[in-house]
Amino acid sequence: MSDWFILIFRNTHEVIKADAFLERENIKREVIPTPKFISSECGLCIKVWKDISDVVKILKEGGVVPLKIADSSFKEIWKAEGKT
Amino acid sequence: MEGGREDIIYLDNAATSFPKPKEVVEKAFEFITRSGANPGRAGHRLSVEASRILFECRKALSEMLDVEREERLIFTKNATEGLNVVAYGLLKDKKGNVVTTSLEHNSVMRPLRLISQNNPIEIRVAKAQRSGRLEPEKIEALIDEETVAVFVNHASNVTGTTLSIFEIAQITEKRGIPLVVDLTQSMGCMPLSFKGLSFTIPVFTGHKSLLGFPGTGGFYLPEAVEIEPLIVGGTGSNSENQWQPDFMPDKFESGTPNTVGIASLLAGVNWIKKKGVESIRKHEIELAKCFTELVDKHPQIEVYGHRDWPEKVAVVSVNVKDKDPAVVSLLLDREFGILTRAGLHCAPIAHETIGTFPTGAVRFAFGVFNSLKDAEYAAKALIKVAEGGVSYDS
Repeated sequence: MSDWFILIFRNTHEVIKADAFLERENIKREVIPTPKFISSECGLCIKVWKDISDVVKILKEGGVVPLKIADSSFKEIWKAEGKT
Repeated sequence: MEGGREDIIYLDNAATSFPKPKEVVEKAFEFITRSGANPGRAGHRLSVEASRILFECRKALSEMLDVEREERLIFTKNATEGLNVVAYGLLKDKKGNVVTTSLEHNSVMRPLRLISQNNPIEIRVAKAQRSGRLEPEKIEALIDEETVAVFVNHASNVTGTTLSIFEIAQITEKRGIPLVVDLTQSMGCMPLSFKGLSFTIPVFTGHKSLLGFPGTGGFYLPEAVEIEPLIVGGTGSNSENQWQPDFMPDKFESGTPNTVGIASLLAGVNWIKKKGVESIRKHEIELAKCFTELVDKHPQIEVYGHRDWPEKVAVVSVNVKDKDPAVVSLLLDREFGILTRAGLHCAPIAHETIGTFPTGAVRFAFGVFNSLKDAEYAAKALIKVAEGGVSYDS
């Protein structure tokens, strides 16, 4: 299992909002350009060094759920329900 | 404050506030010299910093409006653009009527006129009293099954009088009719709360009482109101798609935004929050009241609008008997360094309401950086002009 993941959002607004929540929770993360192998949805994404179930839980509480999550091999491993 | 000038007393704050707080100028300078990149496009650190400014400003403005979903706070270049987007979004290709008031600025009246020319939309105008008062019931009386939207001015840029927008919202909310509120003269100098309102759309400018740079403004679109954008294009999101995204704020924000202006606006809002809207309001009203009381009883001077200060902003329009407003304004500038605005203030219907159309009036608009001394000096100068103490011929 990879020790970091990539969170994909719909737009920059959600990236910045999610980043602020993760910062508040002291989670190691980095806002980076989205690898094109994963998505062309938004130019920015967040790389996190944390278990994804924790991350999703924090972000759900903050009202900013990622569209999808990829692992370190850029493979999609999680997708939000109802999001297209 | 940053800048300002010794040779003038600036009383045209209803057109744009001047000067701006030092923090506003510094923030804009810092932004353009240190993180002046395009937000939401590239993924480098400067672009991310620029995106953070937009996010923080959206959040700060949402808090000031007391609304929850900051992603639905849309930036525009001014209130006029916001009003156009909302007016077209609500009324284009619709049939019925739109209700508005006889105190509106042309930023409301002109989009409504143009839309009504090309769409079967009847414009119904609720007529205010000469004092600037307009009871919500008068607006309610014009609303029927065919009403598509209601547009109301919060504070008049001519009389400084306000309408009870939250009472009006009670009328429109229960019918599910969108209410567009023009906050151009009130946001930043009057406390506001749009909490719990599902069909009410506040529209604001950033460069007046919010103390940001010109080129900033916006509106808040509640979830229950669905409209189409007026301008579409690049958003930095969904780039594989040739169609406009339907999520917020991207749906309404195409093209590179005014990041320097938005940075200045963020600093302006933070400055206001630190000082307190109520304390700013108290100060400005004190000046407007002092000025009005000093000139009010003069036989040559007529002051417009009622004097019920809790229901006003610090805008006072006057006329000097038998003197052209432009002449009065020029003499105030040339002889006393007092900067006012003469004429119709882009609000012909408001001047019709107070009986000053087509020549208009002279407007004194006080701001947070004016002092009581400024108000007293302006009153004395106006009296001197009224009494013929200074000449237009020299």
